[in-house]
Amino acid sequence: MIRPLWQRIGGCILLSLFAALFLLPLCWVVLTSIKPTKEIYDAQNFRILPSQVTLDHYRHVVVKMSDFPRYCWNTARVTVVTIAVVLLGSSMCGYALARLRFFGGKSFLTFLLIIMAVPWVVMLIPIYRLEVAIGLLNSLPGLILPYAALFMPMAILIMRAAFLAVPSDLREAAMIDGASEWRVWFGVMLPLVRPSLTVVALMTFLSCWKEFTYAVTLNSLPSATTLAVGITYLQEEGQSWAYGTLCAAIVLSVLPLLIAFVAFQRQIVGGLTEGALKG
Amino acid sequence: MIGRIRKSIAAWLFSVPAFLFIGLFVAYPIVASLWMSLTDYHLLYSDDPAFGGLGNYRRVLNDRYFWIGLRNTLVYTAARVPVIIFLSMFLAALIQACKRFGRLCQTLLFVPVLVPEAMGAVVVVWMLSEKFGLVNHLLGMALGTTVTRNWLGEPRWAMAAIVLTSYWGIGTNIVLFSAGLAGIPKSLYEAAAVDGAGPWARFRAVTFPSLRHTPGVVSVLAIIGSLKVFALPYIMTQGGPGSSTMVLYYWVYKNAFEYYKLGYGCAMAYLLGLIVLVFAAGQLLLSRRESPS
Repeated sequence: MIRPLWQRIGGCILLSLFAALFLLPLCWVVLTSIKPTKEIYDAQNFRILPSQVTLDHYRHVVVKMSDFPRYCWNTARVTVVTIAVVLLGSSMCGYALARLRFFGGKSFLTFLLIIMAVPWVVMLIPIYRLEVAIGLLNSLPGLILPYAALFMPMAILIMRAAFLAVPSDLREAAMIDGASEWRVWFGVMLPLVRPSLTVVALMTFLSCWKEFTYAVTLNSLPSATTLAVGITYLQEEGQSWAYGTLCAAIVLSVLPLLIAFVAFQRQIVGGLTEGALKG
Repeated sequence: MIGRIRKSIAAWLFSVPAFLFIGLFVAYPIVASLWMSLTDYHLLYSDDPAFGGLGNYRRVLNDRYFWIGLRNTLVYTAARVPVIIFLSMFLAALIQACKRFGRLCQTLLFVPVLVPEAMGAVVVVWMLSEKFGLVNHLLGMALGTTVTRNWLGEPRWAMAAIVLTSYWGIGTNIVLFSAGLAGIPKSLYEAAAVDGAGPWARFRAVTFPSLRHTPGVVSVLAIIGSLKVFALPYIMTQGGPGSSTMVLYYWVYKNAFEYYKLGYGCAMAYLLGLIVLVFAAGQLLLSRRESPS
């Protein structure tokens, strides 16, 4: 179908305007982060572009602020351990659900679908009480355990679908060769579902990095919290709100997400869209 | 027979880690929450909570702030969902029309989805800052005066700002619509063009009906997401000014973790959960019809 040229060009211009509008906040953050402090707080001579580029804010965030590196370190540890746990749990359970028809398997699948529809606010208060009781509040395991559990159902469904797509002859052939169930899973099946393992790892990475409500409730102390919550604490540091350092901190904490996006764009877009449909 | 039993045992062993995690931190809390909602559990005062039957639920329904929270949540949902649907559908159509340039724009529009909601909120607070904010400055330039409006300090604007911020993460919806649009056969458009249909007529006669369930699925997802709104008002306005942006989820949070009324909070969380579940059930039905597998 051929549309008039002006219509197509007009459409593209409109689209790029929207894209620019959506990126404007991010650009503004980057600009603020490289602006000298006195220009940030100069209402009379408001400048959109900085007169000179400074990296002071970044230096301040990385060197002088002890909290920010700690949030990064917390986030990294929570993310890595959660990914490991979710990968292990979901690839094992997904395999069992897909390839080993077992007593109770079907009902477990239905159960997963039901609990995935329950909003996390319902689980939050009992988890909080549980963690108060066993002293896990404001500790990294206290965040990792609920994260792993909450992200697991979705991951199991992804892994189950992946194992279902592997031809079942492979399993039988390996079994005839005398391999145990564990060897088949680890040696034959896991390498074949690597793409889905990547998707699960990426989704878990993004979720850990972005999650706010559980982190602010269970790990509200600066010593144990993650970046998503920690950033809001930096806001009130000192007497005036230090937007220069705040923006530098935001740039640094969004950077890993953007790098992952550039590297794994297809998997991330696919995974998030799929996740929205199922979760 | 023995083979089947062995297989079953192996399957259970494979499932043990998942069972443990989901059992302890998902299944148990769902049940415990229901139980707690029937007691007067308070974190500091009651070691031995008394069973109160439906007392909490009755109290919730008499709680003025519960209704304010519900109203604000519904206002937020009503303001957000239609725009999300039409904007993402519109942008998806533009993306499709622009071919390769469109794909680039789709990627750019997806970037905000990656930014944690909490950071997006902080950024908006900065942009709306009274004296040094970008928005007031740009408005001032456009109007030729100095604008020092405290947007987040005025009830109506505060809610509007939160709703606007939430549009930022529209990227997933655009992708869903793009997938729907890609499935429409080109021949339909050619037929419409032969009949001399303009853009609007084409949209009404071809595009919208051919999208089938996509608008339905997207709206249910958007409704569910809106009902669970928490981080944006929590960071941007702390529910204020007054209680103008205090959403239901925030009131649950306050009762449970600031006043430590855990039982009462659970009752409210359950009510919020039920409202969400109704829509989630609708979504399940819709997606079943979409893919009869």
